[in-house]
Amino acid sequence: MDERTDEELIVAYCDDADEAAFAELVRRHLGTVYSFAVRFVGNEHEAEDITQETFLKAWKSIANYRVEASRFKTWVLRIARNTSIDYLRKKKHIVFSEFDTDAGQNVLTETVPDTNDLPDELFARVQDAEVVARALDTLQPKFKEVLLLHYTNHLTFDEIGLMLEESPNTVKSRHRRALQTLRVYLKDYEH
Amino acid sequence: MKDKVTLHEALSDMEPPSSLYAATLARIAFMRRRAAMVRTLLLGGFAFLSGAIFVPSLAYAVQEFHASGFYDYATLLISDRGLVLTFWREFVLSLLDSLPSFAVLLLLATSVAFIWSLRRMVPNARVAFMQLPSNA
Repeated sequence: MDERTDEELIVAYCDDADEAAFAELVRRHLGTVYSFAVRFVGNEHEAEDITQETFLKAWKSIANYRVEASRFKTWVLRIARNTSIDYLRKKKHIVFSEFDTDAGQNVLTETVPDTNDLPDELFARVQDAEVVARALDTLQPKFKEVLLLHYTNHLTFDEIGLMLEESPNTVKSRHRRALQTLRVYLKDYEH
Repeated sequence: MKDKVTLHEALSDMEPPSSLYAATLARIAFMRRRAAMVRTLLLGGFAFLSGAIFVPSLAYAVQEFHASGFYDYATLLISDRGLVLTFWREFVLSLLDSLPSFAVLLLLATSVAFIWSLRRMVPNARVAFMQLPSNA
């Protein structure tokens, strides 16, 4: 088991052409990238392609990675996110919540009162994880990615904001709207 | 009643397929070899070209050294050392003045280009054509 940090592995690869160092980086973050991709695009085979493409792009641009800008995990997830969006654009798989207007407003979430921020532990317990996955597919990519990066990839809102080049408040706002949309969908499902 | 799950559990990490790691590394290795092959071909072509120009540029430089009188001045170092030491400033100026600069630059440029491209080509050729150890 290689105990070097991600940054040490990157230095070893860039300075000493240590191929095993880059292989270790792939091993460490493969699950993270795959989990994000499969939930984002909703297809396992396509997620495998996206995962491979992500690490290929990371390999090509590793010399551009700056440790002071972000963690390696955040950097590679950014590549995964962009690759997933490119994939969805090519396949014209961009889906929208049926409640979203053309102006990007969500009629349902705007009218549902939300008096306080509920942590996910108080989120409605649902019958099946697959139902949540189906509910995720109804979200716009910009809301879905916030949920995935936070709950699947365990990034903080600050890290997500840095990655997406958005303010933490914007990220939190999208997180709240995503939860509201899911809540409404799941409530209707349970009924 | 079925067990229910929280959002954290529903969106937890998924285990990738067991073959994905090897497939990812294989794809990177393929691209690495392809890039190395392209660089080998380009650098090899450049080395061949600079090597091909080196021979005539060397002949040209020798010819120019004789034609400019530089060779004649230089041989004074052997034939009349005392004169050279007495008039060393004029000797140096004469050497510089008669130096066939263009021929020298051309020869230097082709030599440097040839050596530079060979030095860069060899490690790329190693990656492109030799079997790499498995990292899986």
